[in-house]
Order: sequence, then structure tokens, then C-alpha cells
Amino acid sequence: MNRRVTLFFGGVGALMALLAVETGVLASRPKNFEPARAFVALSGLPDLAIATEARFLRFRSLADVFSPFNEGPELLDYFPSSFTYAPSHVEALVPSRIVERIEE
Amino acid sequence: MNTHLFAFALSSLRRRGAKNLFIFVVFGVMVFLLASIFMIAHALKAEMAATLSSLPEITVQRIVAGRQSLIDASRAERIAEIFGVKEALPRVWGFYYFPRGGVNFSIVGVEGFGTQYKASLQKVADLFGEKLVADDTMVVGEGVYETMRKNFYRDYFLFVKPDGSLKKVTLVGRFKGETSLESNDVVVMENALVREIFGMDEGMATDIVVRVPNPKEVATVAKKIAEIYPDTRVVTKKDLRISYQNVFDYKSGIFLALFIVALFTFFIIIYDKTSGLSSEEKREIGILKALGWKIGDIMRVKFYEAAILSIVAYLLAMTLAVGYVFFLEAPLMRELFMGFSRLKPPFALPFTLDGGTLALIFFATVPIYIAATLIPSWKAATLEADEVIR
Repeated sequence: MNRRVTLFFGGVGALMALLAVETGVLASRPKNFEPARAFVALSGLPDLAIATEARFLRFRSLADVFSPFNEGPELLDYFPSSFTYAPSHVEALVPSRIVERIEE
Repeated sequence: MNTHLFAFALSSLRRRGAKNLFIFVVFGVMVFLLASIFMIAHALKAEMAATLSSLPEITVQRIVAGRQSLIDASRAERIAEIFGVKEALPRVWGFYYFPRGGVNFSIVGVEGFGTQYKASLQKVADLFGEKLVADDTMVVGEGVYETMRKNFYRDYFLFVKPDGSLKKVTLVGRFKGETSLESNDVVVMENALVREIFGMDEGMATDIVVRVPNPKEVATVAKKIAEIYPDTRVVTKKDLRISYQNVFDYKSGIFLALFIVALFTFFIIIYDKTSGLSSEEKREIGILKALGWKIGDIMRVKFYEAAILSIVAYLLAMTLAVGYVFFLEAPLMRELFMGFSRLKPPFALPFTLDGGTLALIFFATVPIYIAATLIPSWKAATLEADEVIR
């Protein structure tokens, strides 16, 4: 086989091996969710403590639907992270404008 | 596979090195960006879904004028009488702003640091000695602990009550690092203490959590609660699951913006490719035909070229993305997910790979790129050799 072809396949093989080793290493140390589960059982609160600048971001699933829109659905919210985290899609008590979005 | 044609394709890629390197880099960056974003989003969802089972089946909130407000704690007794309910507990929790640190703490109340809580607390927190049973104590998350230390609160913290007076609370424990994605901003203390700090009345609660052992009864119990108390919003675990599935707003969010930018870049490359080969490339095809190459041979070389470039770029981008997200904890990109809050947990995500999304990225990029290379080459290859060279 041509030397260049051999080199190429060697390179691709090395790349795939690197990817396999990477995923293998990560998969061999799976995250232990038990402490997190025990903590959630203790606090009883959903959602992650990632964006904590406002209550409707920190406790997104339990926020009332008007919070992300401040005073009403017409006024857009102002936190940068609220572009990342959508308002909760909890079915109960959804204002009319969002109903259309859920039914899409 | 014809190794001679393959070697020719490799040489051909090298001959137009600068152009191919540019396409390789753009292709790779786009796949890397998309894969990283999707990996982070998927890992965060996995983290949330993993703890879903520990949550109470139903949360009851009172809504006044479209906003959540305090609920009468005695309603829990009426709810507990509903058939199928194991227990209904009024819960006290809320946000506390600490101006010096510029951060919000989530203060969560528990029934009391008695023996029953000590066992569960020991599982999730490092407790400092035996002070737990003493009055006015709290256990805090890592982020809160660091913030307090930075502001010279080592053993205790002074909370400002609504009337302006101070409440000294002793620090007796810190939640373990494994829980920091959930517990980073949390302060756990006794219900009475939370009420005192927030200035809440004895008979009031933030919401009521309801435990229903039989999952089939949850919907009926939720309906009954809503009928008894029409001013409440009843959030079930199923609602939370739906909410988790839609946590990232792909419709109007930053993801869409990134995705569109990446997609446009890609389409520009495709457009550049399909809008016709350069005269040099056309002449090359003509010369090959004049030398006796068949259309099939030319197409095969072009296919090899496109496949080598796109598949290697995809593989390299995936390798880098996995390392970037799970080993380096996604520097810069994690800021999208964390917002500008100062209380940031370490971004140690659980390792998950979503095969569907990775396949989607693959099929949205690699075959399209190969097709965009093959079609104009086929057009040139079907012309007569002298016509192309002339």
C-alpha cells in the first residue's frame, strides 16, 4: 500500500483510538448521583443551582409564569441567562400567549 | 477501495492545501461548537433527570394575582386527608440577597435538625462536630461557604431580618462537592429560623409538598387539591419532567443564534462549492479524462477527497468537544449556561453522550458536504475532455 495511504489510515486510527480512550476514561468514572439524590430528597427542591440571579431562573420549574416576563407576557425579560433557560412548561396556569407555543 | 485512487485523492488535497485547510477548520469549528453545546445541554438534563426520583410527587403553591404568594400551612392538614396521600408538609424556603457578596442564597427550611435529619445530613454534608442539635445552626453549600469565608464569616453568619435587626446563625456543616450542582447556593436550617429571617408568620408557608406513594394516584390527588383550593397551582412530578425536557429554549434562545451562525457559515462553504469548480479544477478533470480516466474514476477520487476532509474534521471536532466539555469543564461556553450570577458551582457535568444528536450533526454536515463536492465534479466530468480543457 502507498506510504501516504498507510500514514493517513494510521492517523485516522490514532484519532479514533484517542476518542475511544477519552470516552472510555469518562465512562469508567460515572458520576455517583446518590449524594445529589439524597440532597434533593432533603431539600425537596427541583432544578440546578447554575443561574442564581433570579428566582425564576434558579427555581425555574416552580416559578410562576409571570416572573420571567416581569409584569406581564408583553414585557420581555432582561437577564442574559433567560435567553438560555426557557420559562417552565408546567401545564397549570399558563397565560394565553404561551398556550399557543405549547400546542405547536 | 482503490488504494491508488485514494493516494491520488490525498495528494490532490495536499496540492490545494490552503483552501482545503480553511474548509477543514471551518467545518471542524462548526461541528465542535454544535457538539459542545448539545453535550452540555444533554449532560445538564441528565443531571436533573437523575434527581427527579427524589422529589416530592406534588408541590402546591398559592397564586394571588398571577404571582406566587404564601400559603396557609393549615391547608396541609386538609390535603393530608385526601385518600392516597401519605403526608403533606408545609415548606418554608426562599431567596436571601447578600449585598456584600452580590449573591442570592436559597434558604431552605427543614423540620428540625433532630436525629432523623442527622442521618440524612451526614450522607450529603461534612458536619463540623456535634454542634448540630444546638439552636440557630445551618448547613450550607460550597458556593455559600466560599462567599461567607471571603467576607470573613468563618463560624457564623449574620442574617439581616426584615426589621433591620441581625440574626446570628452558626455554621455547622457544608454540603459535599458531589452535590454542588444542586446545593451550591443552598442554606439549610430549621423552619422556625427561616420564618424568623424572612419575617413570616407562624401559620404561613412558602408551599406544601405532598407525598403520594402510588404513582397512578398522583393525577387524581392533584385534581382533588385543585378542586378543594382553586387558588392553587398544583405542580406534579410529571410537570417537572416536562419542564426539564424543555429547559433550553431552542426557539428563541442563544442556541438558535449559535446554530444559525454555524449553519450559515456552512452554507457559505456549500455555496462556494456548488457554484462551480475553479477553472484549474475543471482543467484537471479534463486532463484526467484525456489521459483515459473514466467518469467513475474521477467521481471516486472526488468522493474520497470530500469524505477524507469531512469525516476527519468531524472526528477531530468530536474528540476535542468531549475533552473540552468533560475534562476542561467547557471554559467560556459554560458562561452561557451560568448567566452573570456570581455564585457559580464547579461545572462538573455527568458524562453522557446523546447518540441521536451526534448522528444528527453527522448527517446534517458530512453527507451534504460530500454531495456538494460531487455534483459540480460530475457536471464537469460528463463534458467532453477537449471542451473542458479549452
